[in-house]
Amino acid sequence: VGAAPEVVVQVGWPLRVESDLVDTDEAAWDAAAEAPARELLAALQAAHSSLQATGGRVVVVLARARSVAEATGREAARLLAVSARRRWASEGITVEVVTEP
Amino acid sequence: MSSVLVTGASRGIGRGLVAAFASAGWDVVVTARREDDAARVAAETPGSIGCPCDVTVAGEVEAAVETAVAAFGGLDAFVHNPASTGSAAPVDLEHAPAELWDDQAAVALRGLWRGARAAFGPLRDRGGSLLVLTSPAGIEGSPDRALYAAVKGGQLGFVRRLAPEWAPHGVRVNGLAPLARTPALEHAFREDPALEERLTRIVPLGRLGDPELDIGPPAVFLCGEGARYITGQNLVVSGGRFIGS
Repeated sequence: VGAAPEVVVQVGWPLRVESDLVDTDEAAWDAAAEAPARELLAALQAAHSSLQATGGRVVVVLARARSVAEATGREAARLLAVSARRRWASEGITVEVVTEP
Repeated sequence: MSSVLVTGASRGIGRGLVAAFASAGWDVVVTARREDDAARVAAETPGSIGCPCDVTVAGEVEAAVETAVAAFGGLDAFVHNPASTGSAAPVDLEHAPAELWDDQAAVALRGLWRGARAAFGPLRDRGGSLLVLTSPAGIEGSPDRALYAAVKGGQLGFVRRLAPEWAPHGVRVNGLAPLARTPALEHAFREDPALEERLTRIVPLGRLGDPELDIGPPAVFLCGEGARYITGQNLVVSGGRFIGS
């Protein structure tokens, strides 16, 4: 009997947004605050599709936030993962969140 | 006299906040996506003015802030309340399209970013405060409304990080997570008549909150002088439904 399948998803920012809120433009806001949950949604859906027959584990790793925009994006992603954990528990799929301090 | 701008104020909790601020003697700018909705609520609220404002449209929230400053000589508080249409409806997480996320984020997150940036200058000038209407779903998650929980979680991250950033400027930033009887909930009760009893049963105080009488006063408090030493907090106003750590 092998170990349960595991999917690891890393949530971060290819380009960091470290500016104060009033100096954060719309493109930076989207990349830092809204894109992480948008991309995690797709990753979670793919993971669920892969694991629904067998059950398994999803680990979501959240990078450290360095600005208001990144903190918004990180917490949005974290709550998406927490909601998936609650939704999929009965299917034998666990979702764990690891947060970079 | 203090002044406040409330976004998403056409009905439900936003409308209740307008009434509560006005009852407490504040000058209120009532904003809503539709001009007639803003005008209707303003007409029933002495001491207020109505102003159309769609927080998803660049320039509209900036114009609303300018209206507030011109009408009342400054701005002491900015309240971000709006949610996208249908944001509280159940979502099939496994198949939800990215567009659904974008719709919710446009109002709850990008609209908040836009409003905060527009209000910062006037709030700094008056030592004012920003208040964000959050949700217990943003703390505990929601299996049936995962996207709603995500935007609300994002708002909490925003509040906690922005509070220390704006504190040196004398601007406070807080959240308020309400559980209240709203038009959206009334609609849900009509769809599922047993829902109201189920929901009421899990609220220790035994009822759903009233937007004006139960949610409004804590919002007024958080925006006022009595809360001048409070920032970066999220006050859960839910009749004891959610008692977090």
